[in-house]
Amino acid sequence: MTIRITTAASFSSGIANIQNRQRAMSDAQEQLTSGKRVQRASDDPSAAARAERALVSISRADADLRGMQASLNVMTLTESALGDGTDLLQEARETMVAAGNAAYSPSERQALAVQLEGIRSQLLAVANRRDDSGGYLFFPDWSGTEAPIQAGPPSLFLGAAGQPQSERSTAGAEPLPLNVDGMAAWRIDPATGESLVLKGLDDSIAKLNSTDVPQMPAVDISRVGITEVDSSLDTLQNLRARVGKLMNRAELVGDRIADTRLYAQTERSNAEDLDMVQAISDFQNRQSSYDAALKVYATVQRMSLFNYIST
Amino acid sequence: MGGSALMSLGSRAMFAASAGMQVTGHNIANASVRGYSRQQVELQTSNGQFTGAGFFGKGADVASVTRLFDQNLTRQAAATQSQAAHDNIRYEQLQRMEGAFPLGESGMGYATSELFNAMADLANRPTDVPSREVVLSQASEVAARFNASAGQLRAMQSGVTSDLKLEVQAVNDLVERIAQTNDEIAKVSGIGQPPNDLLDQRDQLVNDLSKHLQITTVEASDGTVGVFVAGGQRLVLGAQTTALMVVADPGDLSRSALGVRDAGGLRVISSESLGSGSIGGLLRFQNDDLQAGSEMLDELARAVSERMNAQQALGIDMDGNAGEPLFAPVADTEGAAYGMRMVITSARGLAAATADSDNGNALAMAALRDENFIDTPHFANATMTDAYSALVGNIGVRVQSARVSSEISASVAASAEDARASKSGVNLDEEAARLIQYQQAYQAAAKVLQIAQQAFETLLQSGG
Repeated sequence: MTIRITTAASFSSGIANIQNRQRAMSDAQEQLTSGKRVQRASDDPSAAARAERALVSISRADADLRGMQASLNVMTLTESALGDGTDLLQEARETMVAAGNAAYSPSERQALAVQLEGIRSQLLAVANRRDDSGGYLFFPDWSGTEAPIQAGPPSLFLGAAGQPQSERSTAGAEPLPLNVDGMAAWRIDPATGESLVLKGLDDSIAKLNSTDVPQMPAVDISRVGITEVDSSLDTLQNLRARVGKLMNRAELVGDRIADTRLYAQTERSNAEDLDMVQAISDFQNRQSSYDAALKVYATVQRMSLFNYIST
Repeated sequence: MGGSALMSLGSRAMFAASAGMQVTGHNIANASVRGYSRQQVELQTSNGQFTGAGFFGKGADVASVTRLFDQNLTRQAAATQSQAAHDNIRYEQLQRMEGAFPLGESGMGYATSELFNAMADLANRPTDVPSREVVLSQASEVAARFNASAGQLRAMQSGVTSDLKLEVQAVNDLVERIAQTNDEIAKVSGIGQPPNDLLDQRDQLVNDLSKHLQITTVEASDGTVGVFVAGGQRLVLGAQTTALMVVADPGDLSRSALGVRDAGGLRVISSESLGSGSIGGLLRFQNDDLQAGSEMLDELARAVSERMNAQQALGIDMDGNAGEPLFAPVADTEGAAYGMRMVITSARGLAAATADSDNGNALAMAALRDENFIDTPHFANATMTDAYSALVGNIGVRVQSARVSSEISASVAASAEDARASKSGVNLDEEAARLIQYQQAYQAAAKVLQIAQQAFETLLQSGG
């Protein structure tokens, strides 16, 4: 049996076809203008899920980079503070050695003591240095209103001296330190709470200012406190070397995070972005098929037997 | 055999040809009326008259006007349209529901991961108040996103209910009209001729009805049809009708179901027995898709609230106290996403510290981004990222498969409709050809009449 074509059905199926082609064209247009292949999860559910995961990886990599930057900032500030501390201690040591000159009069020794006091107050300022957010670089746990190390002498640490400083680190797969141990850096005696660095200078200043000095050989005067200064120099230099390594490590971690971020970005783009060349060719195909449908409809629907029946 | 016999033969032939033209005209006029079946004149040869010289034919009579119609094709067209309406409305609803689960930066997965990242930033500067404020605003953003999605799902539920009411109103109206048409058909059933246009009208009403509901029809001997729904519930019997109504689903009062009020009181029709049709599609969307979507959303909201609160309680805030809840405690999973609120008021209340580290708990909260803390009926042992990706994927697959079924059933319905139309529909070229055919027949019959008249006149003149 042959299928009869009926007029109403051929009109409506013609219109339905035209609408389908127009819809296909406008879908292609929407994709082209947004640049996204996946605009809704239903466009490609597994790609949408992949893009979701990649997006979270990107935002996490950003957070990890911020953590890395925070660690690098702290370490840069710490490194420069430790450098300042080392310079000051070296200057102090030279002053103390100079005091070993037997020809110095008491007033000359007192002048050296004044010089040492100046160094001491600078060193105290370095130990109490703050970071850019207002916390104490070496004692982030300290939340009191006064500086954590008292001016003295004796220079006492106001926090709980016996308790170790908390080790702060960043979040992430490779945690980076956010502080160095201030108790060790400034050699705070767990028993007395006194900073042994400053104590060495205090001892030397006291000896230089004292009146019974003439009974003492000049060489011995210069030795007062110098062992403390020497071991503090060692401590600061060792710590400075460690901080340098940590900064290197932070930069390496930063590189790795950036790689992860790039990977995730590529993954996201692969999952949801449009292949422009393909898309433009698709769009042109759909455009011509829409055009063809319109032409065919206009031609076919004009034809009728009534055109040929004349009275 | 005289001139008068020829005259009556000619005039009956003219009547037959003009009946043909009238029916053709009727077809042309109804070419684009939905549900119209083309009609044709059934002519039959009049019985011959016996004379001594044998049987003389007496021309043709109009026996009947019939419609070209196939019961099976019509039923199939209705049934496939019912399925197409079901799949189409479910697809439309699912598309709208997909909008409640946005992707990328505007999604809940991203917002929650930004909250965890804000905790990581807080770990970098645990006593920094601006970092704490960022955590709070990110937490309230998470709650807001969950609220917005849950709100959209609630709006969809009330949309389904009001759509159902409109559908049921249309169904009740169609049911009334089928019963009226039944009544009119029964009145003329004794005549012996088919009331073609009434039958078409009723077929079209039944067809329209089956777009809303999956129905079965049973024909009675008086020409009326009985219409039944959901495996036996009567809607039309003769001229009698039963009205449907939208009621709250006794299983879950927030959902809607269909019911009927009859002698036994109010009865709820089980949604599973409704089958296809747009009402069946709406109910399936409501009971299956929308339900699953809200369950998943609520499960995520509850898991995030509870896990964050638990971690917060393990830490110490800036005033040295154990952490107070970050989000409002959840009593019941249902409604958890809609009720999600950030309840902490001060940034100092964030418990970033632990007993031995001033950022220990912030680190623990940041570590939640990798913890499989979501373990619910829909998500087994998943991180928030995995769970939200799975949720988005699940909804996406639902929409995708609904789209495919909708495309398939629409094309099945279109080809069933084509088959029906191929039998019953009007082709104007065909009618134009018929018109010429009947016009020529009419002219020929008129010629017969003219010849008969001339023959009669010749007889009269020779008699004079």
